[in-house]
Amino acid sequence: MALEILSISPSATLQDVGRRASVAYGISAGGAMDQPALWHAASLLRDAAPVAAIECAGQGGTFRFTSPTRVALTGAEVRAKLNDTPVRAQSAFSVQAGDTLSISALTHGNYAYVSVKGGFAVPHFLGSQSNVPTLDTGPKLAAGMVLEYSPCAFAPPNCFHTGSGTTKITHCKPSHDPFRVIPGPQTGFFSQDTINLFFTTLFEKGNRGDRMGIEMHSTDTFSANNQSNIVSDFTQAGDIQMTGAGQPYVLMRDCQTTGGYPRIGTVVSVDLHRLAQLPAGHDIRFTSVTIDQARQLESAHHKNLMQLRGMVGPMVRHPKDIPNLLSYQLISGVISATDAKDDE
Amino acid sequence: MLHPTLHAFGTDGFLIRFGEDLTQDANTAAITCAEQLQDHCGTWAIEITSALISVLVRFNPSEISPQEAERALSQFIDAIDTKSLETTQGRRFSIPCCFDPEHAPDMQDFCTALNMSRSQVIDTLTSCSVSVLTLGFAPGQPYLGLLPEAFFTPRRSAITPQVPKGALVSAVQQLIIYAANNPTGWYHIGQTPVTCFEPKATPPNMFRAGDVLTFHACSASELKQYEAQLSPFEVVHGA
Repeated sequence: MALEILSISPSATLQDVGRRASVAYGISAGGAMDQPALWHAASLLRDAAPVAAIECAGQGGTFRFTSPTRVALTGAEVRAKLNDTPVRAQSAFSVQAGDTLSISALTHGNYAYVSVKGGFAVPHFLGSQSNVPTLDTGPKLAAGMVLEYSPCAFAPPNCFHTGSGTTKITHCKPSHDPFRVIPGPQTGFFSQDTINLFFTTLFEKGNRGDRMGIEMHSTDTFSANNQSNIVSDFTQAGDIQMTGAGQPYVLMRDCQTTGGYPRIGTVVSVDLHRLAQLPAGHDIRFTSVTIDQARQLESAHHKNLMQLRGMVGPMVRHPKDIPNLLSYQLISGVISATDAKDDE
Repeated sequence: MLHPTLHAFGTDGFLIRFGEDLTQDANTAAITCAEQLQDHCGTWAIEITSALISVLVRFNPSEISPQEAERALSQFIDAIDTKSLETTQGRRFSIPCCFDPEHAPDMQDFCTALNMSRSQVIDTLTSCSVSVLTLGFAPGQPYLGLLPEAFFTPRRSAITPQVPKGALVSAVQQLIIYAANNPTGWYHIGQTPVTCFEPKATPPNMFRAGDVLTFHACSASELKQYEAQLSPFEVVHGA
């Protein structure tokens, strides 16, 4: 009753929505880079709340299941197959003992999620199953690793996310929407001219980006007044810190809990998954919002996530969109073969 | 006396900051303020913790509105008895440390940077007490200080790719006991047998902000014994 990892990228981790009240231990909240992807998975799998999933970073992986369950693929768009049958992102499907899911590529986005119904039986640490960088508190995902789950024989038809409005599953498609930024305790360390320049500059997402942070490039440089004498202070995901080279570096889920680089502001939490999934080299603009506006964005976002369950529909595709239609085993995993036989 | 300021920190947090410079007073005030807030705030405060010169308070938006949380915290700041922020009630630890050259690869550079002799450095480190200013960088890793002003030296320009868990490193008038094998830009000047963070223990961190540490020199063979014989949490003794 387990998922066996046959292959996976070294930067893959297990992630749920993250830890709470962990900063006192010097541990950041962690959690999935694309948090809505976990909510999508929960709605597809009919789980009450998001659970820990395998976060595939940059590359896919190959996974074998030793007992029946439901699997959801969310986050980045992927090229993937269940045995020989293509499966798509933002969908859920049933697997049988011995089935192999192989994700050969992430086609849009940087983080893809593999979830099983009910989640994996992995110990919790500080209320979360997310891996902690530099600590072996949880399973280190690697080939040969086995993650236990409770079997689930219930096999409804394959389904996928229809989405609507802001919950539409389009956030892995690059957009030019600006990233919204709220002021923080160190915004006042920057001159108004520097702040104005920051919000009118066109940045490019750099090549260096991981769970700790993402670098940005522009031809301008940014620094705080008295930059080198700033006392280390609390940091959080979304913080835009100005490095010694004067370029912004946006802290992400596994950032350190304190840092000494000055921070001009914080990207609102509801935009962080979009930043995580954006390809390197893409344009980035920042726009200023108030903290009250950010709170309204968050509550609207949360309301949308709570309504996702109503937006799951059966998997129906137009035959013309399925070039290799005849190669499909169209009933695989859709209905239980033994039950049908018994009925006849 | 330092006048604390209140700042929004994200959409569900506030920061109370004591000035903009790291001083022993500002650090003690932050630690004590965090302790007082633990008693003062209701269940709405889901996280209260101090950094070098500030206190983070996270609130639960389903229990309290941001406006009410802000009002509660600014009333607390206005009514605060600044005298009560001047001393901490930390536990005391005595930590063995090996300063032998093989466990202190940067000691020579450190002495040169400070313009002090090796024995002056070791004498000072084993006679003064330092307090845990904050935990950070790695889980449970303590920043200790402040050392005498003569110990002010900037971080090194080159990064050491890895120092071992338990390493004692120093820069900017502070010491750190490394919680895990990690890179450092500070001077590696000794080795302790301390495990700062043990995920299976409750609580997992050995130290908390405000604890007071002293160091005593031990030999390389004593260090080995401490590391081999004692479980991480028995290496040092509280008083």
